[in-house]
Amino acid sequence: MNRPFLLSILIFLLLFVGFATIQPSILALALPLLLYLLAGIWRSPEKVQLRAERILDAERVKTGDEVTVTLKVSNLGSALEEVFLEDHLPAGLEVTSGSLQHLVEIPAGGSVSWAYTVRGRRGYYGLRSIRAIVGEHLGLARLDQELTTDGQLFVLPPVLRLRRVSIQPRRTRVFSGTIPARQGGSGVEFFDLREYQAGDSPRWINWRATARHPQHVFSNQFEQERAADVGLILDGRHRTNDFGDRSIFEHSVLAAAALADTFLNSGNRVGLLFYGRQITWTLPGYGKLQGERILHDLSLAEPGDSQNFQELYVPRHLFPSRSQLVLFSPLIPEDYDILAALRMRGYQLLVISPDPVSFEAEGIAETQTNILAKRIVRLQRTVMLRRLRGAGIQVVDWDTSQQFEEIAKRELEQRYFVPSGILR
Amino acid sequence: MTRYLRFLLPLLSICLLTAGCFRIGSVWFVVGLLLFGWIWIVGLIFHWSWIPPLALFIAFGTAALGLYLDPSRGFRSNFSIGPYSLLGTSDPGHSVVFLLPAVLCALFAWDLAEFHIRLQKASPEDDLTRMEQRHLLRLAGLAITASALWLAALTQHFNPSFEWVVILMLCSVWGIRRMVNWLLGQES
Repeated sequence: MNRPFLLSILIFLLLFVGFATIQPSILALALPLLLYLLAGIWRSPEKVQLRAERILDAERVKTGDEVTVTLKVSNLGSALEEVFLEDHLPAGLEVTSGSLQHLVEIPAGGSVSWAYTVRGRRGYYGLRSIRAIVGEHLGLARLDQELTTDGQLFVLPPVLRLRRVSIQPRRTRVFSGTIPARQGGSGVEFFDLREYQAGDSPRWINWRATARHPQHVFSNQFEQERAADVGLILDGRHRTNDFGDRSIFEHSVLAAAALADTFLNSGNRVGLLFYGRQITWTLPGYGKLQGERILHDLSLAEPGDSQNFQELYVPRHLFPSRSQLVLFSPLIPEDYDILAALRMRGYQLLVISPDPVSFEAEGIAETQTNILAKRIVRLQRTVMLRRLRGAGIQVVDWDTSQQFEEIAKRELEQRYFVPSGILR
Repeated sequence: MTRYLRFLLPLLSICLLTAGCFRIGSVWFVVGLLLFGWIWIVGLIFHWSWIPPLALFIAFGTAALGLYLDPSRGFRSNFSIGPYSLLGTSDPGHSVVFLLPAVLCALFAWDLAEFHIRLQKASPEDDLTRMEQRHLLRLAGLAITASALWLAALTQHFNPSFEWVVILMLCSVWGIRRMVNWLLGQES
């Protein structure tokens, strides 16, 4: 109950009883209460003018890194006897050292500062205000204020370093890179033979072929290596990622960050499409700056639901035709048609699919029913993945109990050969 | 200091109330008071938030009842200058010596319970000793002022007419209402 209100009730009761019984001693009981109230009024804060500043030692950190937040509250008004300061920390951040709350006395023109360190999971955190409750020592007059501050923190997903990821899109860019371009020229890998032309290095002469055809001299041609367009698509649909209070989405983000870094390091042009509650499109680009942009957007990505994107949606106009697409999704059987259609249109598709069956099974009891259900869902998934592979889509089925580096090394470093019968 | 006073003041309050009400003559009343004192202390140990306000009401109510039922009227006629009390008609009994300090202790116990909650929110790095000292100093000032006023009320007298009593009552109600409204407005 409100303290002044409680005191006033008590005073009124005592006055009423005192006057009703004509007992001055009962009236006298109200004296300390009245004095108490008067003392509260006498020392109540007059004009509160507090200003808060917030300094973060880093605004962009990797998951697990600590950030020191320094807060300074200055009093530009009269002296304040008791100020309770509390910083609002968004959910997802945890304090590792120091304290968010302070009870202090701030003289006129004085200031108080303190620091604490936080650590958080991937995401964007706006640190916009501090709560200040100003009062006097008796705690009767209290002023609750929100002091605005500037501050934001991006906790970026961890970036795993992969040695190489082998992709082979049908179309490459003109710039040199590491993607085999299916065209002869200077390179490393043998591509074809042609008749010797002026300017060819003598070291390129294929002596074995030349010996078989004495009238001609043949030289080796090598496969050109060029940069390519890579479109990363991150599936943030609630229905595919969330299982009760657990989410497999973080695994997709981890893989997306790792592959974006690897593709960019190889000189490719990389863009990112995220869709969950809404679509977020990171325009394609090259280099470290693009890597930062992608990590920034990945830090903001949260799974969600939208009426428009219940099904897998890939806006084709965003991706150059016959370019490389990489989809990060746990997949559901309904996704097959859309993926197959993309493949038919000439896109080279790589699907990194964190396994939702084993992920969900970790969190549920091993009952007979659950084991049977798991088997059925596992069969459905196996069939779907087999169909996708049959359509010429490279699928990496990632059991999330294993490290992504292991999976990537095993399945992504080798050149992928499309099964026979698939038109490339 | 506050942590000891939090328990000491309720104990003192209950002891003084018991001593003040002893003259009423009801054993059950005294037993009830002691039982409540025990609940009060247990409530403070277990941080029951409803205990301090309830204790404040009970302490003041008990003190008012004790003063009203005290059979030993004539405190002022024995110890004071005038034969009449503040508002003229009644002379308090000897229990006033115990009951007035008892309510003061109850008020301070209620205040310290709230202050203790505020202190618990502070960080270990804050300078709480200084804050505690200033708080206790203010309570001491209040205690001295209240005692002085009580002493004046018990020793001095004036005999106003009924009209003045009514005007005084209305003024006090209006004044307190204004005061509380101001404090509530400050908070909002």
